[in-house]
Amino acid sequence: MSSPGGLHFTHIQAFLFFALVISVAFGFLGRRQPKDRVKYILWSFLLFLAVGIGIGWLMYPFSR
Amino acid sequence: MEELDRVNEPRQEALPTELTPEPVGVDGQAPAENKAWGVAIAGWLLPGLGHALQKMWGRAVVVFLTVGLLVIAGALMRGNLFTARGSDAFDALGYAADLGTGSFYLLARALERNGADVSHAGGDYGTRFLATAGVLNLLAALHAYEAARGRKA
Repeated sequence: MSSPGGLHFTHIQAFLFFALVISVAFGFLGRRQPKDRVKYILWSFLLFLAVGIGIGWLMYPFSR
Repeated sequence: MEELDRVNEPRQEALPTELTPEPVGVDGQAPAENKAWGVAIAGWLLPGLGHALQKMWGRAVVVFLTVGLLVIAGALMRGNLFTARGSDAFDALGYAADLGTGSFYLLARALERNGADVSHAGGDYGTRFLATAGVLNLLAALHAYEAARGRKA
């Protein structure tokens, strides 16, 4: 997945980047206390991973 | 008889004019509401500014960085940055989402000198990053608006 002269991300890198950035934004907007924010960010990030990988596996039988 | 008629008359509800009037601005709106709209528009134009105006520094920095990172990554991955010249409803929706980044829309245009390339998965992901940045910034602007109105945020 290359684009000439631009930024190169593999599928998993793009997925992890997206999940991390959005989780951090949600954590800071949704919680006030630092400890709550860290917990929210981690929980949101893990859910992104679980749902993304889960949907990937669900689509696997139809990918060929 | 006259007294009976008065008893049968429907009771009039208390009119809002009997309540203590809120302080109003020059255009008839409450100043707090005007301030909240100003904060929301500032937050939309420059991601994080809506929170910075309310001295919510952590949120301001995070909104600025996350929206900025998504825009830069999306543009460098040559995602599709929609314009007003779209041909269908999806283009219009994409344009609305991209415009959500405010001034960063211009940054993305400046970074995408070679135009979009969605023939690769990278360009497709870039398109999503740009749209997500816009929607995220709109969410942050709404959050700043609610905080300015005194809602717990």
